[in-house]
Amino acid sequence: MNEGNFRMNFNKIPDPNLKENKLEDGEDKKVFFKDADELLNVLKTLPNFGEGSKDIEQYTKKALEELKNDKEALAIFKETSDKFLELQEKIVEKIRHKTHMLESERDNGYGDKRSRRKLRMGLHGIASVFNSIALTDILQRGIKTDSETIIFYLLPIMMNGFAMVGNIAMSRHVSKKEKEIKTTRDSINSRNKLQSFLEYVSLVGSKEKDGYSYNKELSQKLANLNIGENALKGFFELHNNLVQNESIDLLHGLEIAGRYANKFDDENELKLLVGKLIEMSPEDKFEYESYLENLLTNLSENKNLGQVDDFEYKMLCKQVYPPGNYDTFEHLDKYKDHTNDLDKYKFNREGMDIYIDGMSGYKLRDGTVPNPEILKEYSVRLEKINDISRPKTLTEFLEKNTTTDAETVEGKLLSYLEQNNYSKDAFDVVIAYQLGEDYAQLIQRSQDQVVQFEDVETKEYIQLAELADIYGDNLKETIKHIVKKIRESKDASLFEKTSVLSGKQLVAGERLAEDLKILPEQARNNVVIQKKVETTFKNIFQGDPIMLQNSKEFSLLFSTEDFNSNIAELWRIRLENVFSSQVGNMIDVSALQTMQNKAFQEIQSEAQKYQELVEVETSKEGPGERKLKKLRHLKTYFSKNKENAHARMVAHVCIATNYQMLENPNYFELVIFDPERKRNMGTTMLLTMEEPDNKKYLLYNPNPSVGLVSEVSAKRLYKMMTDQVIEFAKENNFDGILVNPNHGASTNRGGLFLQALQQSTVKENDSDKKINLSKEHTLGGGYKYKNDLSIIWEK
Amino acid sequence: MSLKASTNTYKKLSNKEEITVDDLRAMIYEFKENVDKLETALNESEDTSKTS
Repeated sequence: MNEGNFRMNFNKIPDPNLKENKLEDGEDKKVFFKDADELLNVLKTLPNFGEGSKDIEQYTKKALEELKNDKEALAIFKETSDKFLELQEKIVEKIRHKTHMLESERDNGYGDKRSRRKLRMGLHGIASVFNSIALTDILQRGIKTDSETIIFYLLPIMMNGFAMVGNIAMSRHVSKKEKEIKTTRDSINSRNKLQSFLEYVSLVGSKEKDGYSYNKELSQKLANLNIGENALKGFFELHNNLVQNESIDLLHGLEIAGRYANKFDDENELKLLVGKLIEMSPEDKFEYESYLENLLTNLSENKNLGQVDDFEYKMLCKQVYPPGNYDTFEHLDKYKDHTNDLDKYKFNREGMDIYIDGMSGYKLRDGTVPNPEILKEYSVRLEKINDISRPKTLTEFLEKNTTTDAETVEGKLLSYLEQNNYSKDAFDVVIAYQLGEDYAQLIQRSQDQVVQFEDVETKEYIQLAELADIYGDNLKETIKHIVKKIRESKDASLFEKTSVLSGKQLVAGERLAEDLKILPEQARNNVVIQKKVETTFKNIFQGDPIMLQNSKEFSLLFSTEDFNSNIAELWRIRLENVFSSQVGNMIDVSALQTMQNKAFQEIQSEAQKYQELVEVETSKEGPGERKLKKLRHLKTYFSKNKENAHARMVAHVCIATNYQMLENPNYFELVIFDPERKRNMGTTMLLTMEEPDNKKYLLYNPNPSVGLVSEVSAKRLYKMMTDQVIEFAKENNFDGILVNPNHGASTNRGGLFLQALQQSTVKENDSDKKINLSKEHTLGGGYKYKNDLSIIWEK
Repeated sequence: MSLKASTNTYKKLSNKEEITVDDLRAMIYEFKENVDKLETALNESEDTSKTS
């Protein structure tokens, strides 16, 4: 009797790289064993069976002898064994079918949501069938021997075998899955990674407890794949709880959570959702899923969500408006529904349609010669950026290459910039900082598109367009963010003497608020508040001629409506918003922006050498002809509801996080959705500019998402969007649609989209017809428009 | 889940000094139960695959 061994062997997890396993699916199952000894010998060769098997016989001998007298039990056993054998073919066929399905789904890059669901079901299928295939094998190998031998050997073997073979099969699957995840690691975005992870957990979650020690290890490996760190930390806590409680329900809950919580940047969100799900019966869960799905549809049709829990709201919004570089979710409590601001306009409130073909490719325009050096130089620079763009690697890089007392990554970055005299390389480190975790997604999107096309010119254009996007951002918000982070940290003292905005200046609004509070009602008007603001500003920035130049301009940010708000807070926010990015003494803003501008111009002028390929509709594909790509359907809405606040983030515009701009009743948007994908696709920021001479202009800032612009014909998309805005302007009696055609001033999109915009302006003697307004109009943040505006359309 | 159930039996048994005939009987009934469940599950999944 060696009970210790018997138990020990089961708990030991087999080597996942097992090759010699005789139970491999697809091996010759027709080989039967001459006798039970042979079967036992084969089983003994299996890892995990090992030494313990020697004692099986002895361990159960007496019981088995006694069992021979229990005819009823034996009959049931025989009957069940036979039945099981009959089911075998069915099971094997099922596994093959499901595996095949799984593989084809995987090969197709997980496909759409529906096929991902199918994939998951496939995995579940395999998971449940795994349980029985182990038994099938054992039975199949042993069944042809006489029934007494079967009973004698099979029962204890089954007992051990269930667990053992189950473990082997599972670990083999897990190692396959792990390999799969590894190989596809670079080609799936973080959502899919998390998805794979959840699928994996749901798979092993339906297994028994003992498989976990190996799986936990794998989970931890997965955790290191740079998926939202906090989220996974939270996830593991749950995971560990599940292991302890063996709660399959919870795992199913997590799985649903995985589908809806786009990015687990908030552990509590996830826990709330899972908490809600585990309370539910399977039917309720199903219903809850369709409830969420419906809400998702509503949201992607620009409808109100109605009453939902906060975490559901956030999670659904994140699904339709995926979080990006300028995270609007930071200010979630600041957004309101401003639909009323649009009451005065005439337009189709059901939304408008855009049908547009997918892109066929790009080619060099006749007579243009590409400069391969540009692509080469920036590709090399991009590789370096890639090496350090993750928060962890960036910190490591800065620590190695900077001598500084700064503790924050921003402080280190600033020191690095100073120590390297704002060199080109140092500039790229700022780009890496700016891209952060978005980088992987950005590169992935680019790679996905590059592989779709075979010809070199298309590939080159796509790369240039992506580079234009990366280098096209004017860094204003990033600089502001760096300054803010430093100021909020201990590092502030390191840079303090050069910082322009002092604490005193920031709290000056308190005094101002008191002054305003005592004003009688009739004195509460624009002139008064602006005058007071100007005086306070002048007092506080005495002796700083550069800042004093801005006093008038700054005062204009305030108006009568502000009397009802917290003036002290407004003062601080506006002061920071307007000036923190101009804290010239802290960061050499102009050095960075000069480099950025140079880089962008180089890339953009290279990108402009290309043109879109005209698609040829053909009934059959012949040489030189291109198949028409799938027609994309987009929906656009003139709108300003609460959730639209996130569209600017999808549009990747730097003022996305500016929530104050939404308070302006003259501001609204033309938001774009892909109803099929249930995703927002960016937006067009619009501003009604009313002039003292009663003229009314519409400021045009089209920013469809980077992805959309590269997936469809950028030029046609521009045309279609612009036509809708022109129609709107006509209907609503505008005198013209104005634009600042410089990159970054109206659109952050580069490449052919920007080119289309610049070509679409009204021309006069071969150059843009310009218009100067008499009043300055603020879109948001430091984005003000007055002089030198080009005309897209005029009455 | 047949594996899960059997594993539970296994765990129960592996702590015992010796397996008795009652334990074996329990295993047989459990085996039958699991195969029945498996049969049902297979039939159900067949229905699902037909409709999808």
